[in-house]
Amino acid sequence: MKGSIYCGLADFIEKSYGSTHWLKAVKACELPSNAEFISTEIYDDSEFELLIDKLSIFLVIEKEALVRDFGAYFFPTLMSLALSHVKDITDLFSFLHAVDSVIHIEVQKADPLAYTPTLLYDQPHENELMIRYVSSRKMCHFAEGLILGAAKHFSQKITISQSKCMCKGDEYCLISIVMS
Amino acid sequence: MSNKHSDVVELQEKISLLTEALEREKNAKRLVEEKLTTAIDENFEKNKSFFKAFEQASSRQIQLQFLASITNELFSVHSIEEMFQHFISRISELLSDCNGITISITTNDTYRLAYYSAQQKKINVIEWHEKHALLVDFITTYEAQKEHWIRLELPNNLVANQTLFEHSLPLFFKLSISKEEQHYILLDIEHYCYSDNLKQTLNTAAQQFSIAISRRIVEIDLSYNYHTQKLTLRKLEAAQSQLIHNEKMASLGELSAGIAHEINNPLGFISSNLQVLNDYRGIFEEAFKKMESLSSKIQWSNGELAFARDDIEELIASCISGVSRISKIVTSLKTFSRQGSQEYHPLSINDVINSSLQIVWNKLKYDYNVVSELTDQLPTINGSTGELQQVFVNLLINAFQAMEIVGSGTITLKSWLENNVIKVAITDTGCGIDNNTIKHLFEPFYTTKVEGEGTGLGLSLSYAILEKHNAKIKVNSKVNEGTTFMITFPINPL
Repeated sequence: MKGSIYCGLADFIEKSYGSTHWLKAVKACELPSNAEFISTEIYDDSEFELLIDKLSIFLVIEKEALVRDFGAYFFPTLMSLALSHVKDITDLFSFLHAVDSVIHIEVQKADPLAYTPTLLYDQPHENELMIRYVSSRKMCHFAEGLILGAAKHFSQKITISQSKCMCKGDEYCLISIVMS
Repeated sequence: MSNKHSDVVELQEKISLLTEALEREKNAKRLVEEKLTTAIDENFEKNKSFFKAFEQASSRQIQLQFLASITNELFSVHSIEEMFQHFISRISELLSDCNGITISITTNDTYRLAYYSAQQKKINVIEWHEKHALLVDFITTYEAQKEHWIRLELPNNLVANQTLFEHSLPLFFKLSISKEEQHYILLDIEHYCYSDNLKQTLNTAAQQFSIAISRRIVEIDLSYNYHTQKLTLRKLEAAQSQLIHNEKMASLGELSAGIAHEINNPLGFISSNLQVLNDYRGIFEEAFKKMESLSSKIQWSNGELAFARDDIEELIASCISGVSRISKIVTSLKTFSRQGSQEYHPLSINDVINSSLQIVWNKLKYDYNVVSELTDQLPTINGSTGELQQVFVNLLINAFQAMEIVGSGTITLKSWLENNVIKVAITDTGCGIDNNTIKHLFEPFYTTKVEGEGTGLGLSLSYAILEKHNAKIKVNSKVNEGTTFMITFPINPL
């Protein structure tokens, strides 16, 4: 997983819950990287899972909710990374279509052969977008958070749900976004 | 107290300085990361086209592998049903093992629905139910681009009233087999979240499938035409053979007529003269006897004269018998060559068979079995009782003679109605006839008997008689097993 995500997580925890919780979690996890994250590098996914596990305990928050909130927090960072790709986009669905290529390119910059998640889209109706998220990292709730952040950015009210979830044993996650 | 206060103040100052130092470190890290990002972006831009080409090549390789495998299967299976099954099975695997429906519709409003189960990987025909009519009506009126997958939004009332689909947006594909026949495939997908490349691959696969189906139909048509032509060729060969045979028989008939005509006249006066000669012989014998009684000096009963007196009666009798035989042959030849029918009348073929059996019964009753399986109340045919009796007597005698060689046997007589014709089969368990003999069986004067035993005209006459009755005769035989003569009579009037 890209270092920018870890840096973003550190920022999110420090700003939302204070740096003490972040530092305690880092110390408790004994990470191979020693939490010396550089945004342009790639780190093992397991470090993220360890951190979230610990933070969930320390902060007494469900892991899914924590990751989702982090996703919403991280949206502006993603937006800044995607700016060159999305500067002419004015609606939520078009932005979400562009997200996959943005993530893909950002990860490729660090490692051309690195594993990248797959986001595949289907728009069965004008006001409904379905996203199939396939990734061994199972960051679907982070994706939900990003989508909520994007909806807020574009001032669009949405209802978001998952009919399939890898965290529950399905082969992929199927996220449905319905514009109100 | 003041020491503790100053310690706390010192600690707070330290924390504040460390926090400021941390912020400075974070800023420095951010600046370094920005420089790194810029350098990485520049490097990425240089190699972007390579990365893109590499990704496209990998993606295309996967697409081509899929298309190649699906093409191999399409062109290796045998029936159209199998082709549908394979195609739907492969596409279903690609689309998360979805279920599917196929509908085939012909212009005479014949519908056939089948359900593809992803679990069983099998297509099963669905029993038609009136609630399927809604679905069929909707699909057939939908203007779909051919050989192209589209999402089909089913109306709410249709979704509610059927159990074939779980989802309301199936993937839909229309295939025209011919002007008279259309096929539709619907895949019950939960979503269509797939890459543009995969969607393009599906369309390419659909086009390939369409081509494969068209090709198979052409192959089937060609195969059908080939078999039809082969059958027609066989029929033509049989007709040609029959024609040749008929020509041969007609020629033989004409020859027979000619010979009969030429022989008849001299035969007539030979026969008549022989009668007269016999009468004269009688007169001479009377005279000799009177002379013997009148004069004892003349020796009438010794030497050559006596021998001649004794022999002449036998000689003349033999000549008369020979002439009679020739006359019968000539009569037979005339019968063989006679064109056109005599007066025909409605008759029961079973009656003719039974009366023919009566005629030969004396030959059969002691040493042979006769099994009669004649169907009652067969329709009548138009014909001549006498002529047909001649045919059946001839066949029964032939059967008897074949069994005589073996020493025992059974003759089975059958008659039945089949496809508006009456069939008669006469089967014996005699010595059978070899294939070479069968070829010549109905030729006049052809016989396997010793010279003097039979004229070789029996079967050829039977053939001619049956032809005049518009009937056909066939023979089936196995050496040492027996022979069956099968005759087919039309029941329509001549």
